[in-house]
Amino acid sequence: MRKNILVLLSVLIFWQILDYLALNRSGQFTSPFSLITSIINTIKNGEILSDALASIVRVSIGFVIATFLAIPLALISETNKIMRIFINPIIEVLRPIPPIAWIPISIIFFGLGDTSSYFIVFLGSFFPIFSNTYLGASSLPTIYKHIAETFELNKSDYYRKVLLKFSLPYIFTGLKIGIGMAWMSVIASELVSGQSGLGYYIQINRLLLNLDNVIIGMVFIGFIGIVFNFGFTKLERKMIPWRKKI
Amino acid sequence: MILIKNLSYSYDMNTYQTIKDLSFNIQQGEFVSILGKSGCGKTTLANIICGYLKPTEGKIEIDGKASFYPNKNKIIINQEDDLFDWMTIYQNMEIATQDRDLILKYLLLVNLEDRINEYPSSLSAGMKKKLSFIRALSAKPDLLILDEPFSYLDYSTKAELLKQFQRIIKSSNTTTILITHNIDESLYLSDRIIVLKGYPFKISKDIRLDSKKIKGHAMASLVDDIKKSY
Repeated sequence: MRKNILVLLSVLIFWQILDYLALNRSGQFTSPFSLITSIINTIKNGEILSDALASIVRVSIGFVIATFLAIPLALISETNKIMRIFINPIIEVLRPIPPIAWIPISIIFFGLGDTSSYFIVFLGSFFPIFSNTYLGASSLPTIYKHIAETFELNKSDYYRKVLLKFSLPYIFTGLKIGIGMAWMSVIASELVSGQSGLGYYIQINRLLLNLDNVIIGMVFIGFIGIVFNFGFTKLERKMIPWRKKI
Repeated sequence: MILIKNLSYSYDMNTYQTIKDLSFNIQQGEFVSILGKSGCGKTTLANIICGYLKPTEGKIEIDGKASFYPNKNKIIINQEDDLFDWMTIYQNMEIATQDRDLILKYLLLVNLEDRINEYPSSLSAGMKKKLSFIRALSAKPDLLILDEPFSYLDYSTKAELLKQFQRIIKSSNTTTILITHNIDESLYLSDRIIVLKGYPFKISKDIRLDSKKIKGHAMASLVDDIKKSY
């Protein structure tokens, strides 16, 4: 953590030096010092916080729905041949389509409101979570399947105690990629059709030629991303305690 | 009693048979070593008996009941690490039985009673094998199959485990099959040795032992006899 902060500080100092050495003669780019001052002022007037909150809520709702659908579906697909035959071709066709390409359709179906953003976030995060969970479940060594059969584990115990637990490291990889995709999707959605949110904030300030605020919006996205990633790493350590000793 | 009758198995139905028309039976509480060269099909036989492979012909009966699928009545321990890494030592035992007293009794036998909340990754290879072993026994199986479980352990760990396993197996009166290519191991542990030979293998010798009575020259002659039929 300390190393990360040091790296970030170094980047900021380097940026400030570049600015000082008159690289920024045109005045189009802000310096780190004025950026930090602007961030403090922007937070004080509270405008960006409501937009950040709107984006966080959209990401959370879309991401949670994607997580609770993708994980069980991937586990069932791995163990059930009929489900696998039915689901895999659909997934393979839909997965390469970028979430942004869905925006026009989502606007037609769900309008310009939040539901459209939830849908785009859902699509963005569903596939990485599904694919990683499926990969984890299909990597379960045969010996564990045999042990589960030998000790006559019922289906529920097999899913909960064996398949899900074994797949957890893979699931967390999927969740981390998924949350990144969720943020990309929500910003794209808000840039195109948002009425609020960080994407909308960036878009409005771009139109007003307020480049400082555009960068502030981007910094906020990066900061929230770090917070989410930190949270997932903590959760991963808590939920996969046996990995500490490996 | 474990009855194996006219058992045949082929990995590819159209070609070569690994096991052909094999029959033998094992009495309750007997410790039988199945001795054969590496690659002769011993592990295939073990996998059929415990239900992981389906025989192409023949039947397996345990106490008069046909037994083709894996279940708690016939448990195999092989070279592979079969403990669930994400479960604690106690949780691994709980897979076999919910009886807390029984779990603690077995953990005490292998000196793991103070480590119940640790994960298997904290155990040595020998300790892991002990845990697999007591987990299997705590399910009270009719048949325990040991498929060269010590093959990758060092000599002293192997000797210690053999001694401990034999003591526990005898005290629990569990019918046991040891799959091995090691003559010394089979002589040390068994009540009976079935020697396999050929491809597909056949029983070339079925020797009942009373190790206490076989000593010196008799033992040397027995080893020689096994080597010839091996």
